[in-house]
Amino acid sequence: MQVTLKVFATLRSYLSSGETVHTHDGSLRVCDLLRAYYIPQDEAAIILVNGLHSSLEKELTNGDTVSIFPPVGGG
Amino acid sequence: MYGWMGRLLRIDLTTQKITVETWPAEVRERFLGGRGLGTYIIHKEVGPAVNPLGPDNRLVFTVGPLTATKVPTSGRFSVSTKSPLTGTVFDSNSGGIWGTRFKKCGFDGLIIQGRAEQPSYIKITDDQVEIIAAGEYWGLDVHSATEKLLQVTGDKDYSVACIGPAGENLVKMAAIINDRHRALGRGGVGAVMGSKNLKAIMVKGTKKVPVADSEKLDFVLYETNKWIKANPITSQGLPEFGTPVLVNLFNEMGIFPARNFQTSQFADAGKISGETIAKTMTVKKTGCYACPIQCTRITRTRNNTGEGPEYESIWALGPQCGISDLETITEANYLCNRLGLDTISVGVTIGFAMELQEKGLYNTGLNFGEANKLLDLITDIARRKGIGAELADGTRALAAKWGGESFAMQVKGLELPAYDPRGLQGMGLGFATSNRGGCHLRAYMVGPEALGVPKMVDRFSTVGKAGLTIFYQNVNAAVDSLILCRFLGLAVSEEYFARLLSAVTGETYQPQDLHVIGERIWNLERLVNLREGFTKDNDTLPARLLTEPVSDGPSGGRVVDLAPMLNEYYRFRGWDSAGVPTAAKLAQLGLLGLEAI
Repeated sequence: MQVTLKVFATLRSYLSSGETVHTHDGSLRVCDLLRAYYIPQDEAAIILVNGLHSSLEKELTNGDTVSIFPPVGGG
Repeated sequence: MYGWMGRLLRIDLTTQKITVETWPAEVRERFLGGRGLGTYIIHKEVGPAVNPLGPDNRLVFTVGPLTATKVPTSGRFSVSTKSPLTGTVFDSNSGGIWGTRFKKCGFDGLIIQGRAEQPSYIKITDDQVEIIAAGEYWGLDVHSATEKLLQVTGDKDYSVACIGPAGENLVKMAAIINDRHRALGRGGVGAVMGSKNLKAIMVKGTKKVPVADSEKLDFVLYETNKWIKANPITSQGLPEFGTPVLVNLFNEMGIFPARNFQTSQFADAGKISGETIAKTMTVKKTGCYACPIQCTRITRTRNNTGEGPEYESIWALGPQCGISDLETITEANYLCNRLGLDTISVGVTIGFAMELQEKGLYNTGLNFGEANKLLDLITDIARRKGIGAELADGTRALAAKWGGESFAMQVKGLELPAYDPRGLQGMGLGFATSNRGGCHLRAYMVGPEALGVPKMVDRFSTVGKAGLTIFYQNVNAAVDSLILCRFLGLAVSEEYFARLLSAVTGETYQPQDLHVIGERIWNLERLVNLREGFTKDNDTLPARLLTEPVSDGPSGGRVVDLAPMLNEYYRFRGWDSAGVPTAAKLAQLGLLGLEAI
């Protein structure tokens, strides 16, 4: 399956393009995806799967978009 | 007395009379300062017959008990008035250094009333107060007026708060800008200043704020600063990218409205994001006085340099108008600062005018995405020229004349900020119940609903949102009275605010006391608005948000389910079903009898 990974703000130091398509055989959770790109779990404060808040354990399906943010605030 | 200076300065511009008043300890205890003090004065002195742009309206500048101390983010001040844009009681607060310098003159507040016969400015140097003719400054933009005032005075230790052409022309979305770039932005407070023929207030003070227990304060400060450093938002997120870091997050979540809330995502968000600004425009980072967070960016375009744009301004001058050119958005932001305009209300009103054109209701000649027209249009708004004259009175007035009320994105006359509440139910309730109209900061429900601060809650659920909204509305009313920056609350809770206040004033405050004070302020604001003729019917949202589901994206299919939250909100507030505080609630807060004044 293919999932799109997007990372933002300070996390771009782990993936400078900010976005990549990840191909994987078998089951894949958010935490597996983070591990594949050496993104420390504790820096992934906000995890969105298709725009909805999700957990590290969330099972991904083909075509999902995973967006990862460090702790952010403002407004 | 510690923390407070104990004195209020009153200037009547009609009679040119200057008086110094003391304010009772009982009022300090009940309202703290800042927004609380401002609300107290507006309630007492500005009745429903007062025209917001008439001489009887008050423009009340206030600081809080923590202002000009070592407390982080305490360099803030506030202004309260009856808003010409909303007709509600209104307060707006700002950072920079003006508030600190004003308090060091020995005052907790400055009440301005009347109207000067000729354009004037006020110069306060400790106890010396002068009202000076400002003819040569009238018509100048904010930067030119500020530079000239400082140059003529020959002393850079003064701080200037002034209006630009927008305030002079009584544009209802005119801001007061202090220290060149910081804004008392919302509600048309700049127009009130303009209506008083007052161009600027410059201040310089040398007095010290007395602190009751310096040792205790140092200890609590040590802990507070430790939390600020340990918290990744205040130590990394905000200093690194500033508020624009939210662009991508909220776009990914489908709560980033575009084209006047016709969609909740913007395809070009990446072009205008905090990451892009950091890479292409940021010259250096800076911040307000006494602030370790330093969330401000000094930026550069091809032709200019300035501060910002902040998240809200990027959105309002960009996606809200279908514009994705960062250079234009940034120039528009600089221009609003120079002309003295609120970026949010300006952008929302322009976006609304664009949709009026699109829907064939009013031929404004403005189309979504027309970046090339933006700068001239903003100038025309400030000068009330051409179509700008129509837009200068805001979205509500434009809709009253040309229709489109269902997509006029305002609440109680205040244009909505950069969040689509169809994907943030509590934010929707916060907008609807805000005492100053469509404002994100009263409750700041984006914290729990989007950022996970202090804890993540289900953003689509209405359950429990009334209680949470009230909790934050109350505590934030107290924070606005201390006055601290809302961003400090990302790192520490009201427990620390109470400890800081106790150390500075020498009086014992518990976190619960701040909630009660905040609740008292909230209810007094409600009493003022009820007296002004606002009713339950005004606690609502534009029909678009209540009946038009988001077309697609993560918030697809959603509307704001307001009614159940609102009913619960009234009940939890101790108000009756018409949204009027009950006698029991008013008695509990010591406000009984004030509803009639």
